[in-house]
Amino acid sequence: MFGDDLKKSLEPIKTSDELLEKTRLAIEKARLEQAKESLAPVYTDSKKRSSSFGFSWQMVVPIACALLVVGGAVMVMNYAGKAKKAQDNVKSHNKTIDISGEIDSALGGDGKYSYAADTVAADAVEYEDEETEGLEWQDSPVMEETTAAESIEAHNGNSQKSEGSGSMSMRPTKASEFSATVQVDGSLLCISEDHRSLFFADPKTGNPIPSEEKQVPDFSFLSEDQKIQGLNYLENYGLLFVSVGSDQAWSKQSIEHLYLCSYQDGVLQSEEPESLD
Amino acid sequence: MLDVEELFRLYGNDVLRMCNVYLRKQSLAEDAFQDVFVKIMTKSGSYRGDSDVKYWILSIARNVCLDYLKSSYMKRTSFLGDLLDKTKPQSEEKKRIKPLPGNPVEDRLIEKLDTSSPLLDAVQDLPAKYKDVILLRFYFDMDNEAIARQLGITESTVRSRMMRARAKLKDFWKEGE
Repeated sequence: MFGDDLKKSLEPIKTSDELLEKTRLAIEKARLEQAKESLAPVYTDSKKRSSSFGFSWQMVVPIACALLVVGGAVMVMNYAGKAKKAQDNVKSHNKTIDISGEIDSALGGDGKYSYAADTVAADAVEYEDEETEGLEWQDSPVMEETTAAESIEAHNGNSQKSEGSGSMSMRPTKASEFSATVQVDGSLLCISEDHRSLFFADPKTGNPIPSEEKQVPDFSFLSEDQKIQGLNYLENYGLLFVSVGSDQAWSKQSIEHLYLCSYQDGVLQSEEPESLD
Repeated sequence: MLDVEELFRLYGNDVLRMCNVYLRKQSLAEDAFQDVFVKIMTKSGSYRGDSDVKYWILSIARNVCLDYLKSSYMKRTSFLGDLLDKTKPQSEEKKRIKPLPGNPVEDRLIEKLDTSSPLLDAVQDLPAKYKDVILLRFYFDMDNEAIARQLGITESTVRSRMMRARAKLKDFWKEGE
């Protein structure tokens, strides 16, 4: 039989122990490789990630440093440029503007007219005028007629005149700012018992000072229902504010009528108070 | 889980013989044998269990051997094998030849001397597709249907291949078979 002959011819071919041992080793090796391969993707992936991470950081850090340096340099240069520009501006503004030469040349180069000389002369004339005006202002009788309200405005540095005394910042606005007595030039100015007049008193003894010795504002013009409510004296300016109302209570919240008297060196300038209503 | 020792015991010789038939060289057959079992043990997860383990192992062995035949090593040695076949001494002279160790030509000659039988030589000289049907039919005792299933071909193809293989091996066919 062909089959038997074939089997018989193949019978001598048998596995040896050496071959089986080699095969076992090969199997173990293959299994080991297989295990390594199964772990390899994780390992290589993490390695790749770590390497890429390292690479990215290796690149990012110098770039960030470079950007910081460049940014800093730009900021410093910008600041320096601005400072220089400001300095130049100051210098250019500090330069004396001298256009007199140009004006002179425009007027005519024959030397007949000189703008510079005219300017100096004009300045001198103006200065003289100012001095004269100052003297006139001091000596003028107009000054005496100047109202106390205008004086207050002058004290405030407000040269713009206004009608009435509404713009006076020193004017007391609350009744609480008033009191029954104020000290004027070392003496005590008090409201009389009937609240219709004022009188000076000695601050030590409390005795009244006769009106002949120390003049007090005259409030005789008050109507019967009006009474002096309180006093407010601004020592620095010599201004006495007198609150007048229908009620005796000087501590009343609202001020009905306000009068102003001015003192200069302890001397009352005008006996009749000026109404600030 | 496949036990390698059990597989050795059951199918070791069959696999080695199959490799020997396909590759014709003992050392090459042993290398292929190792590869076959390495594949069996490392790819055991791919065994679906829809066929006998024996057939699964045989298909692996066949594929490994075919890969070996396709490799450049086999192409180089095939020329040498043909040369040796032409200078093959007669059976009486075989035992007198004592080759020098370490010479590949002489190694092959020794293998040829050790394992050669006229029938085996004839089978080994067959093309691979005829070896398939001859081995499966006459060594593994499979019918045409099983061979067709194993090789992934039709039964008629199996029959035609068998006829051609038998024609090539007609000298070894006894009358009445």
